[in-house]
Amino acid sequence: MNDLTEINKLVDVLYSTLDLKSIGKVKKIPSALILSGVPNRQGLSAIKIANRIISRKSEAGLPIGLMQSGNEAPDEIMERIRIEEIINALIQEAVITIGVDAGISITANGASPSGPVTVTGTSVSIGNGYGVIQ
Amino acid sequence: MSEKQQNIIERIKTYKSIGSSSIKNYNVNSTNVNTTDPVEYLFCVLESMVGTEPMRLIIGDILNTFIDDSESTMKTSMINNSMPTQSDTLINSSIVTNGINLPLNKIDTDNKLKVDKTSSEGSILYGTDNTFDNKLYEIIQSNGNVVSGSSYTATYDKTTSSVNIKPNSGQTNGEFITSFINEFLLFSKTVIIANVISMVFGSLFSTNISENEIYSSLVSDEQLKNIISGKTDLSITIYRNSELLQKAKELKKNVMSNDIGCNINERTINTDDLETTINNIVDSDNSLDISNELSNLFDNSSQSLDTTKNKESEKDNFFKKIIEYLKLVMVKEVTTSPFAKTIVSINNSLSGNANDLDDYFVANSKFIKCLLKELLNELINFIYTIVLVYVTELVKPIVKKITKERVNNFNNTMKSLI
Repeated sequence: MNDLTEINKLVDVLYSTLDLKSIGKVKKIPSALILSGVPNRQGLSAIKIANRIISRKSEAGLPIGLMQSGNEAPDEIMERIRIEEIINALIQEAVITIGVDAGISITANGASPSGPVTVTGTSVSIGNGYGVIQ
Repeated sequence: MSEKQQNIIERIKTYKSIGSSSIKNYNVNSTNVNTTDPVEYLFCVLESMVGTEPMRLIIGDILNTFIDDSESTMKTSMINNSMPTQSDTLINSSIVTNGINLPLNKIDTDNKLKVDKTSSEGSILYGTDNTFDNKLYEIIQSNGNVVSGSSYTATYDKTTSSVNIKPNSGQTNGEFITSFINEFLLFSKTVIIANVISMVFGSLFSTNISENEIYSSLVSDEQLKNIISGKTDLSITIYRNSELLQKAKELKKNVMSNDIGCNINERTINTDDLETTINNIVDSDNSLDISNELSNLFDNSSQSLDTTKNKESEKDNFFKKIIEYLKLVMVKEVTTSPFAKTIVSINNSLSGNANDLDDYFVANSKFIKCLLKELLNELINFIYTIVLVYVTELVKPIVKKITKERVNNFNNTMKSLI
């Protein structure tokens, strides 16, 4: 039985229950598909994203497009500004760090004074790398 | 911590909005959200999800099952926390010969024993269960004759107004205290409900006990409430003291007061309605019926103001008082009741310790805190288990949506890479 006599423990238990952390873990995407598919992606476009959001305003019962005065709706302007700033921050300021696990199979070919050399094995240490969002 | 407490309430509102569009939003009092009382907070969470109706049902559940279910756990805890040092040693011969003296004014600080058991109020307040209070009453009425118990004999001395308990010879310290505790029913439903409703309406104390005696009892309860909420300072503020004086007046008048804005509505109940309610609750094994009995008791109460305008909020207030006093009454049974104080006195005597009943809270703080914590944890977990059912129902549609979202995300990612 949990000791719930202290309010902070009870609150922590309730908070983690409502946080739903264990729900919907991601499935692994095959590495080969990533390597072949990612180069074909178009990259992020703030304009495209903002447009998609604005086109879904009807789901919230809001009108889409120019106002009766003929001016662009302020909320749509703000939506574009918001998405542009978010995408700019992701593209220019986000830091992607990658952890590379040990145990990756290695096959290497080389040469030595005594002839061709083939090395097979696995990486023994973990590594890291960096990436950018495009 | 109150930010996280508020955050939970806001998240519940969000989940209701995302999960279903047809469930009403309930506003909760911000003071209650920031409470440090786990029971109060759980009811606040429940209220934000489904309103106050389920709170009444939970009270029905507590009266129906919790009281009975916690009997053996708390008895075991009482035995463990009052086991004398050298529990395997035979009781000291001087204790067998002279007994253990219990001054009534020190162990019965609620003055319950002043209520005549043969009166209509007394028959409700004592009930017919095998409780220590009933045994004590029998000893007092015996006029100095010896009354036997499972492992002792007892007599009452009118001149000193004290009860003397002599353990039977041939027992160890541990055997005696275990036998003594096991002899009696710790939580009598009849007595608990009667006491709870007395605290709300003052029905059972109005004729036999003075306003000053009621006030002293309220001061002791207030100190116990401070211990329940984890305070080390047991002193009472001047403001709170004036509230207790006012409360003692109301209880002596046999009323429950409700502040309904510009006026105070005073409600009273009669003893017949109270007796019927208690009997129906004790005889029932249906939580909803029990909750309805309390609801009917409130509906049948007579009021000072001719209005039905605030009836539902007054009724909510009534049920909130029921849960507040239910917690207090059960805690009192294991910490400050005549039974608890007698056990403490027996333990102190058998262990060769001084028995300080004047500064009871300080002298016996370990006993009080251990039992209080155990009982409150049982109660809080009981209520939490029920609240969790409602939380699970609330998050079910959200979980379905998130799971579907994850699957869609995966499929869309795969498609975008092909």
